[in-house]
Amino acid sequence: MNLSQLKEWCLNRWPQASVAEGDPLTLNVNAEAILECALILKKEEETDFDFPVCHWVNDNPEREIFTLYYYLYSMQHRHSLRLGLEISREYASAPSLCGIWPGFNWYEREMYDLFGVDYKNHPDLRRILMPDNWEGFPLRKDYQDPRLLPKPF
Amino acid sequence: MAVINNACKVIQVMPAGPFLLLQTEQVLNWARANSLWPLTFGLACCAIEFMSVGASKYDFSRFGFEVARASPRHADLMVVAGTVTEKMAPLARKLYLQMPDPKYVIAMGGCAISGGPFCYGTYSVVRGVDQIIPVDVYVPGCPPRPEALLHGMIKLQEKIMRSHPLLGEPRKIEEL
Repeated sequence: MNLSQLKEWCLNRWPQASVAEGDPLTLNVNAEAILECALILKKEEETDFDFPVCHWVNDNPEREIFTLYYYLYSMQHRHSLRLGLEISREYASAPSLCGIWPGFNWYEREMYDLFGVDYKNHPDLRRILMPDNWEGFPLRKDYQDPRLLPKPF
Repeated sequence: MAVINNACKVIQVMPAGPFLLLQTEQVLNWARANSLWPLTFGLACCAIEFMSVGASKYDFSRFGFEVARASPRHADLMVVAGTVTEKMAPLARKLYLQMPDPKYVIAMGGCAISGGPFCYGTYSVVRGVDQIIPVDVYVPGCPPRPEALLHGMIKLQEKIMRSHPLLGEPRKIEEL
């Protein structure tokens, strides 16, 4: 499917969904619906998203949210889609998509490591890049560390 | 080593003893300086230059560095080639402690000298490998040219030739 067909398909499937334009399309979902929605996107033959491409988090302290983005790709149909999920910055917890795409395992560990997002039902949620005894989540905008020397120039 | 140190103290007070020790030191230094086998230890892009120095075009074997060993037990020289992160620091130190004496360290490139481009605004980089292990020669550059590393290695050989393993104080392993 191309972009407009994919958008139409999503809006037919979920009439209340908000789909943002762009390449790839962003399907905004909420934390309750993401698991069901992801499962449908994987299982339906028309979409058939079988490949987890990437996962990253955007920290937005002004709106007090983290935005989680999951990039999906279909090997068969060669189309891609992005799932967007906004979660509160204070509680920072989201359902893990490892059960559906095991490939997200290390991506979610990385995002836990750097942003402190608590993925529910993740099989092995521990730090992946930083040392195990590290305190804090260094890519949060409000991260403070004496090692972060200010630039003198 | 204690036996050798005691023997040196006895020989030193004998007639022509210091001369004999100096000559022995020369032989010892010559042997050490010309068979400095480096440890295969690359942390970032400087390791590419280090490999280049080991390969046929620059070829550090010509100067006695022979071959990079994969085990710290076989190595005399640690070329810290790259960025030392907080996570790597304990391992780098452990590798250094596993090397048998006499052992030498070259800090290669800006990152290993001072943190380099990661000195400011970074939370995960150690600002200079000399904070965790003693360094003999610093080779600046980002990364240094192979000639620069080779120059640093030859400088280390000159430094070893000037050292006094028998007459001077024994080299201390600092407990940092």
